[in-house]
Parts: sequence; C-alpha cells; structure tokens
Amino acid sequence: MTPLSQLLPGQFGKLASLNPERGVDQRLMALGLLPGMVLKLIRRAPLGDPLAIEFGGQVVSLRLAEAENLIVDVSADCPIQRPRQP
Amino acid sequence: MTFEAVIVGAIVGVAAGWLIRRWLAAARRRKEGGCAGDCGCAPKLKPKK
Amino acid sequence: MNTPDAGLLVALVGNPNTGKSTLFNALTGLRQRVGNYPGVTVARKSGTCDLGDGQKVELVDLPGLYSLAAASPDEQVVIDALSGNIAGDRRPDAVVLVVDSTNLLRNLFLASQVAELGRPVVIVLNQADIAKEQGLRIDKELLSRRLGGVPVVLSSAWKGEGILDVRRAIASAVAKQTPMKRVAWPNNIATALTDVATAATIDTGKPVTEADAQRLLFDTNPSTADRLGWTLAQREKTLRSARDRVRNSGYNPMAAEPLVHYAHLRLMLEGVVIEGLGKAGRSAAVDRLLLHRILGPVLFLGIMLGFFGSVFWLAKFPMEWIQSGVDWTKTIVAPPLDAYPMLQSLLADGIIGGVGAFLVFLPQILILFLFIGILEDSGYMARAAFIMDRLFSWCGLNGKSFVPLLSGFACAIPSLLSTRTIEDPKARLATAFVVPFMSCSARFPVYALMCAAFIGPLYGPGWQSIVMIGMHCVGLLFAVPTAFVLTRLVLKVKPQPFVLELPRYQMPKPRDVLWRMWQNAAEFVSKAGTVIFAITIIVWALSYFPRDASVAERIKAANPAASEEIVKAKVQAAYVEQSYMGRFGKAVQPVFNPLGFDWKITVGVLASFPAREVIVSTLGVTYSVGEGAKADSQHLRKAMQDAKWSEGPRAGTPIFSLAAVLALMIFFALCSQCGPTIATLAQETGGWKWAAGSFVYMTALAWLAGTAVYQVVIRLS
Repeated sequence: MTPLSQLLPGQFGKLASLNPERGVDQRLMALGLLPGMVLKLIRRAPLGDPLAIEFGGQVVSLRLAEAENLIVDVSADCPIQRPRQP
Repeated sequence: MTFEAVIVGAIVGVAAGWLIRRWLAAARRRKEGGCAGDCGCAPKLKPKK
Repeated sequence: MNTPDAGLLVALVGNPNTGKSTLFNALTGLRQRVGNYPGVTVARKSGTCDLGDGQKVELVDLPGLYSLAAASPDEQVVIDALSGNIAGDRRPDAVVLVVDSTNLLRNLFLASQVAELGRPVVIVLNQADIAKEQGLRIDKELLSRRLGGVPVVLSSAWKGEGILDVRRAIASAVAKQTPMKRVAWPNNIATALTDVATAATIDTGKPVTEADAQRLLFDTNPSTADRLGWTLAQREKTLRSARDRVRNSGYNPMAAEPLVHYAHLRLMLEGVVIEGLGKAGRSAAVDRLLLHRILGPVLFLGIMLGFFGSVFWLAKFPMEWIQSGVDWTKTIVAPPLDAYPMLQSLLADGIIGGVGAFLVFLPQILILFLFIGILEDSGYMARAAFIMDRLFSWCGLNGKSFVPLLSGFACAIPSLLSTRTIEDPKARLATAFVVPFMSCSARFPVYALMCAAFIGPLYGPGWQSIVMIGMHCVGLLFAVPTAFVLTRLVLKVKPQPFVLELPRYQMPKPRDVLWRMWQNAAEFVSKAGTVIFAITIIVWALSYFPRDASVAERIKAANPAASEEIVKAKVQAAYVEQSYMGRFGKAVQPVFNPLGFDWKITVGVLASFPAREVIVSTLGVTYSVGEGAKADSQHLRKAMQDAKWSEGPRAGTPIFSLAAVLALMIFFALCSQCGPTIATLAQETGGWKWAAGSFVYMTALAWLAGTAVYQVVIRLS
C-alpha cells in the first residue's frame, strides 16, 4: 500500500482508499475515481508538482500534497489497459 | 451665442449627461450584485474544472 | 415571439470539453444573445433553435461541470437553472445532455444526477467521430432502452454531423416528455433522503424536491440550505442523524452519491459499448512533448513569446489601413467647416482624431482574443496551468487562478468576476488583488503606440517586439512578489486543492473561435463608440476652451517676423496650454516631472482614469488641437516624435526621449487600473478597503518605478 504521491511515472495501481470528507476527493469521486479503480501515474509536471494521473480513460492533474492521501495498492492485479488514451 | 456655439455646446452637454447617467446606472447595478464593468460581463475564458 | 411554441425553454448541460458550445452554435446557427444571471459571473448564453417543423425553442447553454454538487456559485447556477430556481427563468421543458462518446461512464454521472430532477432528457453522444476512430461501437438503441426510452443520438458537432438528429430528438423529448430512468437508492439512503426532505419542508415551509434533499444530504457546502432558508440550527440535527443512517448501511455519506450512481451506471452500460480495434489517441503523444520536463516549459515560453510577437506583427497592415481611413475621414469632414473653426475642431480633432486613435488598435485586440480562444479550445490551456501550478502554489494561489489571471490580459473586470470560482475567500482576495497587474488590453494601445513611434523607428522591429513583451512582463514581475507577500504574510492563505482535467487535444473549430473573436470585437468597438466617444468629447472641450482672441494677438505681436505657418502653430500651442485641461495638467505636472512627463502626458494619464485607452485619444486630441486643425494634420505619432520641451531645464530636447517613453510605459503597466476596475474590486471584496489599498499601492509603485526608470535611463543615454 503506497500513497499515490510515491508512485513512479508509468506505474499502475488500484485505489485502495481515499478521504471522502475532503473536497478534492469528492471531485475525484465525481470523476469516477472510486475504491477499486485502476489508475496510472503518467508523469510529474516539469517543476515536480502537480501529478498527471490517468483513470477511467481520462487524465487529471492532482497536487502532490493531495495525492499523499490517496492510498494505492501497487501489487494488485491490474488488468492490461487498452491503449485507448484520451 | 452663435449658432456654432449652440451646436457645440449641445454635443458636449449630451456627452457629459450620458456619461453621468451611465456611471450612476453602473453604481446602481453594482449595489444589486451584478456586473458593472464597461468591458462586458461574460468572462471570455470560462474556468473549466 | 410570434408562435406559441417560442416560449419553450431547453437547457444544454454536460461536462467541460464535450463540444457542447460547438453543438450550441450549430443548433442556434449563431442566433445568440448574451445576458446575465443575477449575482453570478456566468453569462446567460441563449439562442433560438429551429426544431425543423416550424417549432422554435429557446436554447440555453449552461456552464460545463462534472457534478451537480456545486463547488462554486458559478456551478450552482446550473442546478438552479435546471430546477427553475432562477428568477426570471422557468424550469426547462427539456434537458439536452451532451456526452463525450469516448467516456460514457464519467459523462453519464452528471446525466444520472440530472435525471433526479425529473425533466425530459435527450442524450447526445457527441464526438462520435473520435469514438469511431478509437474503435468504439455504441449501441444507442440499447442505451436508450436502458435509460427509460429517452432519445439517444450520435453526433459530431465539430464536423456538423448529426445535428438534424439532435433537433428531432429535442422535438420528440418536448412532445413525449419522457424522463430519464433514475437510480434506485438503497433503502436506508432512500429513508434518510425522505427524512431530510420532510424536516426541511416543515422547518422552511417551502417545497423541497427529492433533488434538493440529495443536495442537502450529500453536499458539504450549504448553498441549497441557504436558498431554502434552512438555518444551521434547524438542519444540524436532522442531517447528522440522516448521515448516520447512511453510514450504518455501509456507505460513507460523503461518498454515497458517486458510489451509488456509478454502480448503477455500470449496470446500465453493460454491453452498450463494444471496444474494437482503433487508433490510440494522439494526445498522449503530444503531451510527451508539451509536458516534457525540459521541453515543456521551453515550448510554453516559446508559444507565449511567439504569440505576443505575432500579435502586432500580423496586425501591422490592418492598423495602417485603419489609420489611413481615419485620416481620410478627416480630410473629408474638415474643409466644408472652415467657416466654423470650433465645430471643425470638435469633429476633426476631437471626435475623429480621438476615437480614431483608439480604433486603430482593433486588429491587435482581435488577434489577442483569437489567440486566447485557440489556446482554450485546443486544450493547451490546461497544460499551461499544469506547468505553471507549482509557481502559483508557491505564491499561495493555485492553477485555478491561472484563468482569471490570464484573462486579466484581456480585461480586468470579467477577470475579477471569474475569481468567484475560487472557493477560499482569502485565495480569492489575493487573486483579485493581483489581477490588475496583468496588463489589460486597454494598456495595449499605449505600449503599441509608444513602441511603434519611438522604439521601432530608432531600434528596429526586433526591439519593438521585445519591449512590447517586456511591458507585459513588468506587471508579472511585480505581481509575483505581491502575491507572495499577500498570501503568505498578510492573509496567510491555506494551500488550495487543485483538480484539473487535461482534456483530449482537439483542433479548434474556426467558426467557433472566430465567432467568439467577433463577439469580443463588437464589444470593443461599442466601447469605442460609446464611452470613449463621450469621454473624448469632454476631453476635447476641456482642451479647447476657454479660447480668447487676445492670445492670438499677443503671439502675433511677439513674433512680427515669423512666417504665418509658425505663428499659427504657436497660437495653437498657446491656446491648448491655457485651456482648462492645459491648466490642470500644468498644475499637476510637477508631480510627474521626475518621470519626464510633460503636461500633455500628465493630462493623458489623469484623463484615462475612467478608461485607460483614453490616454491615446487624449494625446490624439491635445496634440492634434495643439498642432492645428488642418485638414492634413499629421497623425499622432509624428506629432509626438517632433514634440520638444519649450521651456525649463530640458528646453530643446525631445519630450519623448527613450527614458520618458519607457517611464510612461512602465507607469502605465503598474498604475492602478481604470475606475470601473477599482469599483468592481470594491464590489468583489465587499468594501472599499482593499480597492483603495490597491489604488494607493499600485499608483505609488508605478510612480516609483517610472521615476527610477526615467532617472536611470536619462543618465545612460
């Protein structure tokens, strides 16, 4: 179990938990990022922050500080994603 | 007063009056919480989240 | 409104970046008008849509959003509009949901929430061409059946395909009034919702719909409660026990809504989308380049610089064209009025000279708006915010401030209003305070005039571009420390959450971008035609009167040997000097003396308080009037180039030396924004404290910077 902020670029993971009381997490849930969802850390911004993550066929920018609260299971069996990027 | 002076005076007067009326209307609109700018109210860029 | 059907109202909703606006343009054929929603910055965009059988409806394009759980007053407008809670607008007769076909699941989340409102729904699967490219096959009949029989159509608004189907679907929805199938709430949640609805109805005496109850239960922000007048004291207990009930059934109440909707949607979508072989999206590849660690920022700078350079490089020809038009108009209007010098001067120097000097910058403004439109529509804007966010957060702001700040380069007022999307009031205040540092389009003509008249001819077009860009950067240069001090030290703003979608890149549709550019241009011209026009007349009058014949005689007597031309010029100069404007300018000029301003420049600066562009018109008037109302009056540039100090320690030297030119531009870059901006700032910050502070701070900063620049440069040259 790793915080999302510690993933390496290109690494997949399955969302284990988030913090629904926070506004950020609520926006992410509205976008479809729910526990059990597969996501991928695409890259970090040139200045290191924020992060670009991909899930459910969309790419979203998220700050490092907020990504720390999203716990991801990197050893989970992630289905091979279609290369159907946005 | 020459004819010329009357015309010029009228134009200047109308301009001044129009401006004052416009500024008063803007002040009133501002009090009601709407938009008061001269540049148009629609933000040209809509913040897309 | 002749036909009875013209009273029908149809709302367009959807996620951002779904091509909703393109569809709206296609459906209304650009028969649009822009209005206001009371109390919010979002414009009410509506148009007339022809449904094909003579039926016309009013189509309202609501702002794009991801969820009805509104995060800001601007997003609140959407749910208010859909529920019919906006004064002056009734409930829509049908709701058109614009969906990105390549991401049905996420797009239908909003649809599923909208379904709770019970209105007839049309689902438009837009961007169908891209879905096809990606190898997706969507069974729209199946989807329609699953969603309760609502019309589901495919379209590609960008290509103009499927528009007819959309029209027919709207007609069908309006006629059949089929609502979309709603989610089935788990029992405990359903009970909790009923409890909330009942309690709220009893406490407020107002009708509380099921959708209202959902917002009350699931949202942390109190906007729905406030609208109903359900006070905190009243609702606290009810909401707590309702949320406990939800918790006891195994759902976190703050996560229940998306969990339930998405589970429902996965069932609805089973078998609807068949993924076949298709091309991978290009956006990822483009991002590898544009968001590259090194190349990304480099390209970002390149794009920004390249744009500013091309703005006035491309505009050069049209500008000269407009200038000749203005001059030509003068030559037509002036001669017939030789017998009436006062009227002649008013028309030629005042109106044509003044307004013309302002209109000349229309091409540059057009290209500026065009570029911003392209940036936004292509999807690059989000990447820019992504790259810049680190810097923003260092200043205590976040990427959400990027859009208000960038639009400040167009005009500060809508920019200030758009700060309402920033939730934290302190961050909002900080952003609003910094907005005036973005060189708004009104200052553009000043830079352009100065650079074209003085930098270009002396130092070449390369330096002209550099100085233009530099002036815009001056504002930024001071904005950063200002923001930093404000957010970290003065206001102590907490770090802001920042979630932004990086949408698929797409080719901006020329028609849409040009249409928006046209709308902006129309505003610009109507501003010229109205406010500037009126102010120019006033300025002219103040520069012309009083006019005493004894002045002319005095000059003639003092120059018995001079030619008629020279005497005439001196007479004109004397007239302007002792006009009201001249006297006022001379009185104030000592304040601006350290910046190298003469009284005419001073007057221009003062006169431009109501609207910054006015300085150009004012200079147009004071130099035009001073040089005589000849039919072939030189235009402003030449007049300024030739202007020399007539007295004092600088006598004989050009007024517009490099030092003075730079000082003037820097003063303008930093000085307080126009009156309406200050007033808007006061409105947005709820008082005059911050607005006055902004005025004092920026004016002082401008004066100091201008003085520093002038004093240093004059010694170096």
